[in-house]
Amino acid sequence: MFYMMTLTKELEVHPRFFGPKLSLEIQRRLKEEVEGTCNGKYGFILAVFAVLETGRGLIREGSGAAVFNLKYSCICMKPFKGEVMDVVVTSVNKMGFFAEAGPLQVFVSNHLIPDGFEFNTAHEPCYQTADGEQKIVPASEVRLRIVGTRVDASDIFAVGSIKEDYLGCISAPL
Amino acid sequence: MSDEEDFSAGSDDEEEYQESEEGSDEDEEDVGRHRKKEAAVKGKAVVKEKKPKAVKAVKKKKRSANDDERGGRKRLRGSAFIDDIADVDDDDDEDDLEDEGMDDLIDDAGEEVLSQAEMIKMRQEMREAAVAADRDNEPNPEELEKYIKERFGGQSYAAAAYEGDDAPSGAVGQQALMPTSADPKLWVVRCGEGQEREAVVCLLQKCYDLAKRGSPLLIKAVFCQDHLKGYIYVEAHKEASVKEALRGLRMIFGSKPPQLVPLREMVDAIRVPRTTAKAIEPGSWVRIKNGLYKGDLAKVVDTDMSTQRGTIKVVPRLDLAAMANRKPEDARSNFGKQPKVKPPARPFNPDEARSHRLDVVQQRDRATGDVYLILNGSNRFIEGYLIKTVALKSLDLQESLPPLDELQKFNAAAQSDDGGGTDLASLMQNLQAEGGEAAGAAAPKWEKNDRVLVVEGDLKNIKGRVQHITEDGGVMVVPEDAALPDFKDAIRFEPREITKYFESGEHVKVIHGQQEGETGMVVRVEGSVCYIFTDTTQQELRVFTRDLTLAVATSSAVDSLGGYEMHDLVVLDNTTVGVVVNVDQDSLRVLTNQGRPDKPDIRVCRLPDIKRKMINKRASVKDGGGNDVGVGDMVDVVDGPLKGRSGTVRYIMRGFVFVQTREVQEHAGFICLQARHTKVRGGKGRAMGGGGGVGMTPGRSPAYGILASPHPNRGMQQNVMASPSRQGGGGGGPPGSGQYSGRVSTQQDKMLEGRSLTIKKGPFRGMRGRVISATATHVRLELEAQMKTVTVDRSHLAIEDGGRSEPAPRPGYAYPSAGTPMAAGGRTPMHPGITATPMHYSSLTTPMHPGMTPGREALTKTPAYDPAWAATPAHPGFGGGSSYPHAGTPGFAADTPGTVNPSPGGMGYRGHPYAAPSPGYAPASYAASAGTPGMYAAAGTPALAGTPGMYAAAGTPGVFNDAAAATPGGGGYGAAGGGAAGPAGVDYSLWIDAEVVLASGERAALRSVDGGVATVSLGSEAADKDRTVWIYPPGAASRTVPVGEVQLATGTKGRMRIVSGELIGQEGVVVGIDGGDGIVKLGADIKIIQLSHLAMLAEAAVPPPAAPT
Repeated sequence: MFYMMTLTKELEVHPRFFGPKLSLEIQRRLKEEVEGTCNGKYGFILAVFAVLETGRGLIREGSGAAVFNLKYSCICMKPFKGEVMDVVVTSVNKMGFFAEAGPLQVFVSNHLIPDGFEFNTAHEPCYQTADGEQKIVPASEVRLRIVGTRVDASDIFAVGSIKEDYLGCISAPL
Repeated sequence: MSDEEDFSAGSDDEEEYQESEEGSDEDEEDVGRHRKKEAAVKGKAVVKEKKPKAVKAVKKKKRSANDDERGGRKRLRGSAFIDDIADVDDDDDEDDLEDEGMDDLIDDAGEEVLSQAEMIKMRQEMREAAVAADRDNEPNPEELEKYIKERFGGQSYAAAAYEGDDAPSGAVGQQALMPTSADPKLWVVRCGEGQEREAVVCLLQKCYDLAKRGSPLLIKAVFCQDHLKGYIYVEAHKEASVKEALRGLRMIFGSKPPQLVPLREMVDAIRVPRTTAKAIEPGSWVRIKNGLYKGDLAKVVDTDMSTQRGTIKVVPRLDLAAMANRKPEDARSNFGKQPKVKPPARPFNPDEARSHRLDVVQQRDRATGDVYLILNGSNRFIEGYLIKTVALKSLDLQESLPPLDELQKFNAAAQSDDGGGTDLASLMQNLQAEGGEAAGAAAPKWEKNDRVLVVEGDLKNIKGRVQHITEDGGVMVVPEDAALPDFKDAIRFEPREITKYFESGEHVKVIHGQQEGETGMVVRVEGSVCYIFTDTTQQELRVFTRDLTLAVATSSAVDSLGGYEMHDLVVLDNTTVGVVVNVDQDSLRVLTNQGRPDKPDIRVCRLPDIKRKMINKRASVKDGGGNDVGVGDMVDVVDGPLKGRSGTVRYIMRGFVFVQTREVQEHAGFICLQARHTKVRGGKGRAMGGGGGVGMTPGRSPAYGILASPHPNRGMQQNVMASPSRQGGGGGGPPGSGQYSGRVSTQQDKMLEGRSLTIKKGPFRGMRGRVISATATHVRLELEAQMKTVTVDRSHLAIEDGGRSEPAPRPGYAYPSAGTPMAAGGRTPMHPGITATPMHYSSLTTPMHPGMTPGREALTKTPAYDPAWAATPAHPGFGGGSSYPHAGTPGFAADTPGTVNPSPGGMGYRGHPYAAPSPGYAPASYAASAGTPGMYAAAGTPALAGTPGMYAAAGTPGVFNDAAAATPGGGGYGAAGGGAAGPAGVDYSLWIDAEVVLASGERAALRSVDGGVATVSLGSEAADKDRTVWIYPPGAASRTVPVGEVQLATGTKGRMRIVSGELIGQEGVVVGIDGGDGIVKLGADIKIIQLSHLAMLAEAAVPPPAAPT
């Protein structure tokens, strides 16, 4: 699920940047350091929306760097158990398939794929129904339900299921 | 005397015994009563002692006592006892009796069969009579008490034991049971090992027989302990009685007299350990302790307690080839010898054996009807398993159920057609059925907060959470069921009544078995088996739920073994390094750099195989495009079988990169590649050539002149370090190389760190030390000879290994290799001592390393040198205050004295915002002051510079050599030579069609470059709305000018091409200008790039209005 969050961040800026472009630099650094990271509480920080407050900055003795306590708004994504989301399949193997929803990696085990799907390695590894109508190959879009998440310090990993009504392949790769 | 005789004698006696019994109906009542009492006694004993053995002993004691005391009724009562005892003994000593004693007995005395049948009949009658008597005589407690007192009054412990229902319980009661000196003593007697039980039974028999004959044995009890081999205990008042009783028993060694068990040890002698080790019995899982099959899992088929041997079923480890090759005469000598290498455990395949010309015979076991295959007349096989009879001692009982994977392996070996072994569900059922208790024993690893499901009893299917474990093994469970919202009290369950319970998606940890420690997420639960998708290896495991526990979600399983963790870079030998991709119980799996991408080399290493862990976060290497790749960069694989993948560089080692990618599941997602098969992605803001990102080029871009303070630039040194030759090779390529920028410069000189240097001057002269840190002027060394760390002036050091790039330490000079005049130039503005006098360098630069001129030849050979050089003065970058971006280019790193020395003087300073003391500082004057007239004169005249001889003649050798020495990248010239690229890394070919400003101030479009001469077509001004633009119609007049005289026109918006920096060669549109930076649209991206990196493309017509900023 996506959230608009207001978060804070302590940023140290080297004195070389003290100048007219300081705010630009702060913004750049903030984005560089924060975007794409993940924490257990808020999930993935996808994009910094705006720097709300930079404060005045405090010069750190010795190094001369300035420390800013930034308050910024950003878009976060955190997956939840039970959430239904659309993902793009990245790889398929006999254990199941991996898919991505942005930065989130989801694994769908073959136990959580409906029985109608068979693993097939004939051409490229895929799961497909007996009639060949539905096929899960890399780059397919799949709708799944998250059955569990594992939250590490810097990553979130989810296990999904498509063994339910209204879940499964929603579009084949172009 | 043989026991056969003994027994037959005994049976004769028994016969007459029964006769007397028949005639004793009048005593029935008494007997019944007695039986009743005995039942009570039995119950009591059980309650009090909870020790079956002890009970037995006590019972026997009791009986003997009866016999003693009441000689008259003895026989009769004895008959009742025999009934009783026979039952008990049948239970206890089934094997012994059936296997040995009884059979013989029956064989020897044929008529005995009849009498036994009669006996049974009689016993039944007696029992009925007894029961009837009981019904008649309701037991009167007082009477009973009185009776007991009367009978057992003289025996202290017995009295205490049977004092009645209100007998004291607990510690006091137990205490009262202790034997006293008045009680019979216990003697321990040596007997044949494995014959203890037999001895006891024989003695028992003898006791009856003799008692019937009227000369009873004077012993009270006899018993043996299973754990005490070779001894039996006999209870009697006198040693003589014991000896008398034992006389004639063949299993008793007469040589050793009975030994008295001290009073206080008597209790221990009959104590059966509470945590009694479970006996190995058919169906148990065992591990073999020694021999070829050491450690292997086996299943017990049969046991023989008397011989202490068991028959087991194990997956054979046969080396058929070796067996076939063995000559018959050797067979004997090799017998029992183990092969040096343990053959793998594989099911026996008779066809395979036959193919080795080994003898395989089928045989049916007469007793069981099983069909054996017999190999070489000795090894028996059933269904692929080897059947072995071994000593029970050599087996290690598996208390709990073996781990699933081993079970699977074991069962997979089964060759039966029903395939029963592989089906887990049936396996599970089998296991539970056959090893009900074993499974129960495995389960009690309950932990607080385990989620459980009740599987037995009224509360079946209720879920709950373990609250705590009671001392007696019960599990307190708080129900946690949606159906029972108000039911919150903990309920006590027996472990067998509950089972652990998981749902898919939960994060669990394996706490038992081969995969112990593995964590993963449950993807499926099937009864008592969970399917787990592991975190680290991304594999699917099947594990019993009982072996799982919920893992704390936040802690990822950091598997480690001996200090090596998953994903560590480890050194295996001098040329082999690898990444730990899996941690097993006692070994690590390492993906090494020896494999190929399509065939990775995975080694299983034990701890001694691993030399050390490597931490090398700073390494960098060139990718296929000549860009620098650092740890943590995203790269795309551009070549080889893994082409198209991308991932993050985790480690760099000697041209190899270990990339972690999500697209590969094997080996924890790691792949090992040659660096040149990769291409670094633009990410991470590593602006190139000093121009890309805002302020990303400390120490290089004059725009941030403050940073050009005397920092030795780490980037440069790394570059030098990384691959001097490669730089040269890549010189013709894109000059941008990120490492000059991208990294924040520190004052540290990282390159020296860790090296050993000798101090040549000063108080520490002569000492060697390892560099801990180094700055521009000082080096901190850890002395080898003394336990101390000292700070030494750089000039006091000799850099030992004659390093590739260190010409000499120079006082006050940042870093030797930074002695490339360019670098010096870069920092000069801030360096007062040096600034004004570029020549200073020359004077300081002594020809320290005359031999180190790999670059010189290349340098002198390059005809391209001159055009570029000639171009330099006119290079807009120099004038515009951004000459230094090119410092990042290999070409520039290669700085020739010619190119560079003029630049600080002539150009660098001119437009320099900070240090431009003399805008008019002309190259000529500089050259003059440089004291190398020949050389710097040449600077003004490109043509001259082209002659190598010129250098030799003109250059102060010192300067020259120094520079050359300092420029391993000098090879760049060679590469650059052929093309239009200049030594300064300016690729004029990129300038084609660019808008340039001629020396005359006219604007023109550069059409071609040939050598040092450019052909331009003059532009004409045109009005576009409210502004003036230059257009370059195709037919315009053209002119040839030296490339040095043209500068890129900047400051306008419109289409452009990037001529240097990271994004070199790309075209885009300048949409806005911000100071010295252009805001550039490259496809969909907006980048901020220094204007000096941009060449505005000459438009044939009026350009479309640029997009607003």
